[in-house]
Amino acid sequence: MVVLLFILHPSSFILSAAAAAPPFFEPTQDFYKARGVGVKAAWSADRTALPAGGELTATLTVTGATNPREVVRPDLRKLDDFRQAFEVADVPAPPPAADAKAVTFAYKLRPRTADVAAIPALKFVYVNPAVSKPPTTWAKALPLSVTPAAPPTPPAAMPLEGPEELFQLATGPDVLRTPLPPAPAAWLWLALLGPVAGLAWYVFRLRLYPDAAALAHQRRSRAARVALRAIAKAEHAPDPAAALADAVRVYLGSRFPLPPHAVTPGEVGEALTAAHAPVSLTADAVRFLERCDAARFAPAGDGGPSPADTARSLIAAWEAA
Amino acid sequence: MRASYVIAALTVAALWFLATQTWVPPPVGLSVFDPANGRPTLDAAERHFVRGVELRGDAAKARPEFAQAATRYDDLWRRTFPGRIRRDFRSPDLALNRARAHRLAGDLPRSILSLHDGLAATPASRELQAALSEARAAVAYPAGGALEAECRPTGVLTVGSRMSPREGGLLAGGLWLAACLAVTRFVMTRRGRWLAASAACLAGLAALGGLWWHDARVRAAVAARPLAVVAADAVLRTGNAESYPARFASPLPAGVEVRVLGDRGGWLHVELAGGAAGWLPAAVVR
Repeated sequence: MVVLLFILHPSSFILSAAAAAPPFFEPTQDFYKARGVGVKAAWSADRTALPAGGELTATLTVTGATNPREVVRPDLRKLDDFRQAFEVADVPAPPPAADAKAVTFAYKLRPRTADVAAIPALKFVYVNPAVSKPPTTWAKALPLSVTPAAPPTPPAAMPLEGPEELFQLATGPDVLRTPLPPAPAAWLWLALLGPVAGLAWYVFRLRLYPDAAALAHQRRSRAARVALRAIAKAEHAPDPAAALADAVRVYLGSRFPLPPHAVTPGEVGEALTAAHAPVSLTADAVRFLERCDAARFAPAGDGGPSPADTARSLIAAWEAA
Repeated sequence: MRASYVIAALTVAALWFLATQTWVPPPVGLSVFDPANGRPTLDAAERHFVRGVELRGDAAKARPEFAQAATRYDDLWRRTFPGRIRRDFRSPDLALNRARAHRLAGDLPRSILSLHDGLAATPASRELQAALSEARAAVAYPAGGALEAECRPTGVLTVGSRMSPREGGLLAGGLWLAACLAVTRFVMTRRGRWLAASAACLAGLAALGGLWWHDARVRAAVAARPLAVVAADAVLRTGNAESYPARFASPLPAGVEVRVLGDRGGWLHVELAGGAAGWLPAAVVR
């Protein structure tokens, strides 16, 4: 009864049909959707010798696939051998033609170290419809020669640009010498300097240029001293009367503006009158000069008071005026 | 007249004495040594600077030497010696060397700041003023637009930037002396023109005092808002966070001078030369 039910159940027809074709299990590892009978994979590279840090272009060529447009690019970044040895970058390429004999996948590979000796072999599993077990082919390893990187060339020296003044250095004691503002004492000095200088100037000028009254007094006193000295000398002169007359004329000339031609008693009298000298003293002076003339030219033995005493009295009278 | 010459010579000699003996400090006898090696700091700074000049053909080698010199000049600049009169080394020459070392080390903002430090100490230094103008010319101010007008510094002209205190003191002393002598001459001669000359000198003295008073006010106002220099390109924002909108479309270039109004949460409230205010991260401001 059980056998009969099995035979009559619809699913038994499906099982019997599947058993007619070879069973198909899509591989989960290293399978890139390639189908065919004699699929091959091979590595090629644009160069096999490169310096550390350099980069090469490796190309994986798959031939014999009946479905070239369906073959997918192996992701080398997920394969340990490649990930540990290289920095991987895919090089995009257009899909192959539907009847293409080969499919190529290009990669940019940069060896991580100088110890990398080859592009590792790549396991490539594909499906052969004629066999139940997916066959495997290998893209054989491609030897590489990675040479040590050349020492980096130092960058060209760049000069330090700038105005020439920037490169000048101030040196000497002034570098550490700070200018200080004026101290309060300096302002006091300045404030006192003006009045002190003005006062000093005033005092010095008074000493050197006394005022007019003081100057006249000094001048008068000096003239009297000179006249008295001349009178004293006149007594011993060969012509005492002439010397006395000269002494008095010089005295009068130092006090009043007597013209040079005022020599005779009359001329002296006129000049003194013109200079507004005291009238009485002018008359005394004229008389004295006339007496001196008379003494010079009179006969000897004519008595009378000494002309020198008269001259001294006359000078004293003029000084007192 | 001979007496006038004598008095004039004596007063000039007195002014010279005041200028040379009262105002100029005696030579500095303070030794400043580098704690790293015990050598005089100034010698070390000059040695590095000279070495940098020798290597100027290769900027990569020269800049570290200038940076070393700048570090030592900074050290000297910061030193003060307390006492009855506070002493330091803030001379125009030191400020100039310091600014040049920073500039050649590749730090233009700090160079500008050094020149400002020097001008704060000696505002009338012609060399520092010229160096600051030259350094400002090296700043990449934005071309055109409102930002350029805001960024470009505008100098404030005061008597202090044209005349040193010593020069001002001598001028004031000269005016005061001339006024006093003119009054003296008036007493001697009783001529009114001498009195007028004295009045003119006193008016000049008053004008000079007014100019210095204005200078003191301006300097006090400037000192109330410390100067800072933008060290790297930075966006001026309307608030103290990155989330606030930018004040201008372009960032402020390195070397722009700003006045600090305040700070909050790692940000500085700054004012540009043109008056625009905003916020900058404290890390990009020196």
